[in-house]
Amino acid sequence: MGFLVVIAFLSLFVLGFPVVYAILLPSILYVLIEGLPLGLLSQRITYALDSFPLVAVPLFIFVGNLMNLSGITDRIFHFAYTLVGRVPGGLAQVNVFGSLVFSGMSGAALADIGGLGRIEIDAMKKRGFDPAFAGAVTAASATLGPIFPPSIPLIVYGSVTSVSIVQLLIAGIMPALLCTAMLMLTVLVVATRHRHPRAERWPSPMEIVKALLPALPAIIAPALMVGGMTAGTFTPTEAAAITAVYVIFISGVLYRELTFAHLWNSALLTARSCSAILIIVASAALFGWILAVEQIPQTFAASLLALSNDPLTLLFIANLIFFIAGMFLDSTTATLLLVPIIAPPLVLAGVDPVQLGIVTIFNLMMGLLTPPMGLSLFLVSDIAKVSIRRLLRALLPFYVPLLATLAVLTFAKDFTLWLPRLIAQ
Amino acid sequence: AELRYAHVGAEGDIQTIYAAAAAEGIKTATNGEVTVTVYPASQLGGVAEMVDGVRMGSISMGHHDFASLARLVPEVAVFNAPFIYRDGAHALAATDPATSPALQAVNDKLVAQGIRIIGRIYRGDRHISSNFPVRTPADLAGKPFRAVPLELWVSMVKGFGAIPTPVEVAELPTALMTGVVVGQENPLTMIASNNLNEVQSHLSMTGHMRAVLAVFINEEIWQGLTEAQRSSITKVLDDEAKKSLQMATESEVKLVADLKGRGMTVLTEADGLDVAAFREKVSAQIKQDFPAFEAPLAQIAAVK
Amino acid sequence: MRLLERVLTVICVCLMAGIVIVPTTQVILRNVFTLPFIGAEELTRFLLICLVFVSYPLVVQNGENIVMGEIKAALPKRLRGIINVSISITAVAISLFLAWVTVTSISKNLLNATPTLSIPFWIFLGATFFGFAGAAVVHLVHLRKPPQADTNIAV
Ligand code: NA
Ligand code: NA
Repeated sequence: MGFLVVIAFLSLFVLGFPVVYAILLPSILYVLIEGLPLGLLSQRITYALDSFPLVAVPLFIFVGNLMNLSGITDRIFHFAYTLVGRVPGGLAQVNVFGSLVFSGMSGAALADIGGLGRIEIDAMKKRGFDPAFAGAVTAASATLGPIFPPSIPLIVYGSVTSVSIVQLLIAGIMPALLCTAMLMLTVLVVATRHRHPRAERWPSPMEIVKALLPALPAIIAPALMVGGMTAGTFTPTEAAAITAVYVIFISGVLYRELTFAHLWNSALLTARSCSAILIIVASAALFGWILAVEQIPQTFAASLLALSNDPLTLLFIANLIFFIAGMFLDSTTATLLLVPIIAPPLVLAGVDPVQLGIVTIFNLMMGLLTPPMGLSLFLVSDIAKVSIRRLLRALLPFYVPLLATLAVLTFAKDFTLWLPRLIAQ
Repeated sequence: AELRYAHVGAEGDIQTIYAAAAAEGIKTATNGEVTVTVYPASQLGGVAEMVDGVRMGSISMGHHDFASLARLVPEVAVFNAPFIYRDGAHALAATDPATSPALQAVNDKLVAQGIRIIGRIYRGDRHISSNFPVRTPADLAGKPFRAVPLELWVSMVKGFGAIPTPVEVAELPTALMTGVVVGQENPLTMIASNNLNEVQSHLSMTGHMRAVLAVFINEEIWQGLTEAQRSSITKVLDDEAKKSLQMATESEVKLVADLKGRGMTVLTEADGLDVAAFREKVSAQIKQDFPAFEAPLAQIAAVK
Repeated sequence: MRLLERVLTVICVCLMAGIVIVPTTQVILRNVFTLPFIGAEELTRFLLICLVFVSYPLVVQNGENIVMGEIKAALPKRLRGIINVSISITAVAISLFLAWVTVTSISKNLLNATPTLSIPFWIFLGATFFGFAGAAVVHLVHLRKPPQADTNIAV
């Protein structure tokens, strides 16, 4: 019965049903056939959004919209373009690097896409980049957010497994840097091969300073937010709200460009984007509940894990399980359902629990890029206004650096564990 | 009958061990007539959703702090109140659904809302952890301290002398690390399994609350079982409750040693920790904030 | 219809403002006045629930539901027509059904309230009801010509 639900969802998705209804139709039928109380439907859909970390999603989307409509984006990207426009794929490099900087503030991939992503995509489109490529870079680089501290998914992982959250957060730093480097390399290759637009000459120092000054108040925002978080002034989710207030402040008082209409339209656009994506999160929670009750992910995982005792093989199998799970479940649900099944046998076989945590979360973030339940993909397609298929095609080259990072995380455990060990001493 | 048993406890926690053992025990005791599938770690939703799910019947049974049922019947929170039990055995006796008058009074009201308490779990005593030595309520004066966002906890943290400050569980480790709050309180099993020793330097063995969790079931499902099945289940849960007390007592000693080994400084009364001062301040605050607790507290105190 | 959309827009903007203001106020209360507001997180979470569901009819109205439409677009015209009709019918049926289920839930949860601030639960279920009922109406209005049925892009 559970498998039928999965198959029905897949078919409806492929046939072009809106994702919400492709999830809801088989889930509702399941509840009816199994004779479960109907109240479960409304309760589960409503409670799924009862999550404080999710609040960061509308907040960062709001920040992105505000910055676009009030002209701050133009200043930032004028500066960035002046600086690196000559580099092949210059703005795309900024896109990747921007995510690394932003990942120090946001603990979730969707927040990164909603906030910085919208800004980056619009700026790249303006400079003549293909929207699908802009979207693909944005989606791929959003995997960095949850690997680099702060990170909501790593905290969830830590609390499910009793692995040290501090160690997990520190362990994410090197993989995030590695992944950034690999993504930038890929951009370089793709941009050179496809002759992406670039500036005609290198900038003069004067030009750089001239472009920097107007962008400065916006560029220092991440530093201010990270500073505020480390000082204990606010938590990551609160930082998202403070960022919104800061952007309203600088665009209203410093730049004097914010009108009431901007504010209004930003809020309205945010409400719609946020609703379009989170209504999927809400219905996915119902779908996840059904899979949990049917114990499908657990059965699937247990049968695969029984195949081997070798730690590396097991880790490889775990990769596979999480990648597939990430295609059907959001990262929190997948962590709650699967990690308690997968972690104990792997740790028993000698896999380091911290390494396993990073591998798991990175996999689940890649699942966000992969249909049918690819929430990152959906949000980017919503923002960039490109079809999911075109986006997927543009994304294909980026699977290479992502999978390469994953391979390093899987097979070179010292790479991940070096920094936490160093700090533990 | 097939029962879905959901809870939010993580791997390795006493409550998780309890649920797994209870499921096994119920199956044996009823000769397989009643099977229980356990869904740990919030797999079927968070606390509020689980309680509503049990009321509705989408989840058959679950367990959590008594206070989580206070939305339905406010007086249930009394069983979580700080400094009310003489020891673990007293706590178990006072929360026994078969014999405790205080619990039975509450249960009658809960049943009207579609939910019934059928057992309890002893999860260990709650202690204070902080990033500086805490010996008296004065040490916490004016400092932000994490309070579970429920009236009872807010009142208790006020009694500690601190400023009750809400922090979401998902952000607790970060908040303790960066100093949004200077301390928190939880059973040792939670402190150890969440590695809070990495973000907290001191542990004050106040034992202010005895964490007894209520095991509850959907009333309609309960009435759908036969008399014999019900009494087998009750018996299993009662045995497991006693085991949980034993487990909590044994593991407390181990956990203290473990946390010391991980670098925490443990403060007991021998080190100048003034538990009596905490008891006095907290009890006064609770008495002031919860006048309705007077009658059930007297009943609880009367339990042998 | 125009007026309704206008009213809805105002509500959505207010909810969004609340999601910014509540956490910000909490940061100020905690750091400046050392007087944290105990229910701030709960209030923010529940503002989010309301925002998502109350805005949903606007999402449907603007044809912004997320879809992967490429495979359908490649199908022969007749088959595409059949799928489009099934999508419209499914959308109306699911929205109506969920709206009905939610109303039934509300009547059973009238006394239920949030743990910290005791905000009555029917408000949130009310938002869920409104979201699906509103979506059902908009889907019905669009029945003959849904704004997104023929697009082969995602939005
Ligand atoms: Na991050
Ligand atoms: Na990016």
